[in-house]
Amino acid sequence: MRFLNQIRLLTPESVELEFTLAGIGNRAIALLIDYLIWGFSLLLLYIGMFYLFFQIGSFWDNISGGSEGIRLWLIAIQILLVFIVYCGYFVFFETLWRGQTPGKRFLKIRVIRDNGQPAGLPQATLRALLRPLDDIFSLGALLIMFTPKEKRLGDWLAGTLVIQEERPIIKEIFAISEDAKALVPYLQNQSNFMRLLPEDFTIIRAYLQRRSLMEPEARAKKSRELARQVRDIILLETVPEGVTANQFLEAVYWAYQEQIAPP
Amino acid sequence: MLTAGNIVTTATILYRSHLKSYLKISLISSLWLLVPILFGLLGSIFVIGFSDTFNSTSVLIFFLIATPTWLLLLVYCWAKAWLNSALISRLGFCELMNQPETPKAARKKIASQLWMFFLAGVLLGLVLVSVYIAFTLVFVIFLIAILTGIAVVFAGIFQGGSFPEDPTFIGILTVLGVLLYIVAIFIFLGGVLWFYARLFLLEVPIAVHGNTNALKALGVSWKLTQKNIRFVIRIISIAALVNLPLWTIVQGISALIQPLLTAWITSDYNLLFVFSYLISSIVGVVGNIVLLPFWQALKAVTYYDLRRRKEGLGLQLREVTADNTPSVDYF
Repeated sequence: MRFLNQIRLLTPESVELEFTLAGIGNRAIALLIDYLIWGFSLLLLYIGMFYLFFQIGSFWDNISGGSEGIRLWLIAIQILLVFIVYCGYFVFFETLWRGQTPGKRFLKIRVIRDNGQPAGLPQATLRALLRPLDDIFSLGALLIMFTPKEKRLGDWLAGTLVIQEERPIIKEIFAISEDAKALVPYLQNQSNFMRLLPEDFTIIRAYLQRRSLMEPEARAKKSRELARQVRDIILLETVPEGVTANQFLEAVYWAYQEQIAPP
Repeated sequence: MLTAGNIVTTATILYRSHLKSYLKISLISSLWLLVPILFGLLGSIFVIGFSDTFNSTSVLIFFLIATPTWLLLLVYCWAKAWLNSALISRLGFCELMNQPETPKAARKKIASQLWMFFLAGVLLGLVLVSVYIAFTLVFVIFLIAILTGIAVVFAGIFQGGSFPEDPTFIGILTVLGVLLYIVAIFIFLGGVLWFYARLFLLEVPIAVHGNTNALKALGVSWKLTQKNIRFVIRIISIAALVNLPLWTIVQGISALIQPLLTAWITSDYNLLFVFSYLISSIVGVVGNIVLLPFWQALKAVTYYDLRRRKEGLGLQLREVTADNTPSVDYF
């Protein structure tokens, strides 16, 4: 994630936190999702109210004999409801879900305050108030793209940041085969694991995590290449017959882990 | 490994951090595209201007010499333009691999691939045009067949075999036709997008590895996007969404200039037309110059991410030349 904008924050308790900023890509989709939900809810509200108030109106006509008072009340309620949904959507969700709207939740991004604390009602309100201004000529999107802290006008005023919640795309856990585990004692006897640096171990682990996503051909090639390099590093002279490169790498992973933290 | 949204963000950040050099290359690329147009215009002006002085034979000879020359120029300029746009992708990829290059050095390395870029461009054009034509044909046949089918069935059921002239019936048929049309348009756009996504990375392998040909590069792009086609389409769609603000600015400038122009040129409508055409072309070219590096950077990031995913790019251990290890490869 080296190329995504990072930010370090010092909380009031002097704790340093590092976050990855949400980025224009995620924020654009989140906004699109929110606008779709928002527009659809407004449409449903209009249709629902039109139907309901028409029924109430005609019912009232029947019992009161055509007084106009109720219609004005209904129109007032209608305007109020639309206003609440129109303005309140972002404020409501960002307050209720601590800085997330449905779109942001889907994309796993979140609004936080500049000091790292969760965003609340004041922040959500200010952001929502400035939203129309940010939408003119896509000013907000340009500010997100061209400022290092990715702040649109609403973010400047409210003192907020939009960050990514950490989430690994790949599974951290992977299976080690029994054949590989059987190989571990042999490796521990015959090779020098002190020569394997933590960086090397990280790469072996990364390979084992990522291999299920790789193309079979490329996986076979990469596993052979890595196994040969590992063998050279740990000064292993002979590998028992029938051991595949993948089993070997799994065994090295397991053996190294046991060496560092014996069970 | 990045999500689709983060790939688009990375492309923007990559572009922003190399704004000047990428823009310069993009400008060069666009200028190469303009050269043949300029020469074509000059040639036409020449012929029109001197048509009285020369007889018809000399004009014919001029055409016979000028047309092939111009075509050669066109091919050369397109190759140059595509090389320059691919150069941005190479620079981006090298940056991602943590092996940055200067534009000058990178240009030198890919200069010999000039014709491969041209072939790749032609290949891409051919594939997309064939897809376009194929879809259009299928679409027209499908629409006519279905509408005729419906008409025949309806005629059989309600009118005892004769085609009805009932307005409701024709109305239903029209609505059905429009609905089918909309569905077909979506299928059509989806199909073209699908092919575009499969060939999205076409020029990147040529720019990055050099020693490959256009067909092989097509194979690379095809294979890399094979199981990740939805991922790539998502990347392209998000990128298009992120492009919108820049287009609003371009459109905004056009919209601002238009009334000024109308106020300025009040008498001559031809002049007004020429001027507005010229200005909208310039705005379009400028928009293209600004957006090209973004798309080329996006290709670089997508290529980088897909190769990390599918080939384990970047998983590299130290090479140790151990003196006591046998040279036999066990694995």
